[in-house]
Amino acid sequence: MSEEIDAEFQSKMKLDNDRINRLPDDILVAILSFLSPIEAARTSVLSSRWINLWKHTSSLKFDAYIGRAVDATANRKKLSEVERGKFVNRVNFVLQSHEAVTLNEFIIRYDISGSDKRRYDDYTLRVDEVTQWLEYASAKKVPILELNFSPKYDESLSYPGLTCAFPHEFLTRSTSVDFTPLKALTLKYIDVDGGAIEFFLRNCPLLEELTVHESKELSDVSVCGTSLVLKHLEICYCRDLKCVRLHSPSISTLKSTMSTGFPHEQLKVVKFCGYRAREIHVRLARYFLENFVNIEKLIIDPRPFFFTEQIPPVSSIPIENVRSRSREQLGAEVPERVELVIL
Amino acid sequence: MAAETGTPTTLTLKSNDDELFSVAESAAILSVTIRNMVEDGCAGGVIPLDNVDGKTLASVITYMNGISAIPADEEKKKSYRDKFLSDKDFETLADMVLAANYLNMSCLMDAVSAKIAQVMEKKSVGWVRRKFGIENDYTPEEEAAVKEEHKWTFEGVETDDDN
Repeated sequence: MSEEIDAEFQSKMKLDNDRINRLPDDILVAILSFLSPIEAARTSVLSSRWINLWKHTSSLKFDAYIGRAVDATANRKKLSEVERGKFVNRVNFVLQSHEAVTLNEFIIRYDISGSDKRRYDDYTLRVDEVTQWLEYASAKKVPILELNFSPKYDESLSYPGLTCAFPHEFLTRSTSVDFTPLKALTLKYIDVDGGAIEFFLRNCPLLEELTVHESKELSDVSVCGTSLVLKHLEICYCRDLKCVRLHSPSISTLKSTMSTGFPHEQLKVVKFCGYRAREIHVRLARYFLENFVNIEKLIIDPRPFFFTEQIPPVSSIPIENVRSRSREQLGAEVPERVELVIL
Repeated sequence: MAAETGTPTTLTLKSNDDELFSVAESAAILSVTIRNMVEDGCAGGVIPLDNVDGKTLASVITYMNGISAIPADEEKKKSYRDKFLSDKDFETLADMVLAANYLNMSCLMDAVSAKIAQVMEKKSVGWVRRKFGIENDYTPEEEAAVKEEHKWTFEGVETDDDN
């Protein structure tokens, strides 16, 4: 009897044991595309069939925080110098080894600000490394590109994070620079200027989403063009941002921390970050309601963030008060067709 | 077309073990393979799907109906997909990924691939070999060399939980 069960078990195991092997290589590669490149590369050790599969994934998504530590509290800590250097080396090693002709997404999330708050000059990311990553994105014809160097896990951060220089000359230098397939571009903590933004808008006819955070070089941005298909524009935490000119037929969501002068009929959702219930903020919110005639949703976000104003991010007014005050201030003024959301 | 006549067009799909299934055209065209047949006018009679068995096809059709009933709301679609896949064992997932690939249904293909990838995440080489029945065909020397070459990928691996 027990032998019978054993035989049955064995045959079931045999069936089970055939399970992943019956998938063809292209499906295994599709599966590996959902792993981080480092996780995917580890599958080389499984068997000879797997040794090069990871080199053909369609997505390269590097996150300096993922896979470095098991427990969540350690994840919140900033990366040490050694870890940061190692991370950049690994990224570059993967890029050299990877063999896919094109990629669907190329994402690098990495905190460049140092492990010590007082030392701003100890970062390990050089502008030539960023250039190299942009070159790679261009060569692999990526539709989704994100270079995100924000210290995102340290929410208590109360000092300016480091930003990385953007290689502006790279965009014009080479005729082989081609970002035509770009659909979504995210640049965070990189000092990209208005000219570069306009370069992407001009040269990426498919661009639907553009997100720029924490650029010190951005003061004027012009998002204008009848052929633009841009749907989502987000320009936040850029300290010197003075003017955004927006004339784009497809825009449906806009998020900005500096917001004067966007009359736009298609705008439906407006998110107001860094709302502190001051008179100027109320005026700005009214401005949105008056000028965006088709606005459907106004989101007020009173949570603190960095650099919107030259004051410490911890507001003297408790956030709960800001919330209740903004409800008082705006609740009565928001027309019925507009949904008011206070975060 | 369904929208014009007001009566939904129904297609008949046939699995490779000769089971027949009726499905609304509007749901079935989530499969690019089927959509192409409809557009080419080849979907009049029974559509044979030679690479999909009845059990898997039934499941895929449940998914087609479920997801197409959700209006354009990516969040809701995602939570439907998560729920739909949550109780599937690996064998079923492998059948589904093959079917999704054959039927050219990228949303299902991605969801199942992501689900399988999730299982492998942070797991040791030995664990993945056991779980997925992968035979180690390296000689001890070869394995040592591959391991050495990929040493940098071994950080953050969890301790096996199947011993």
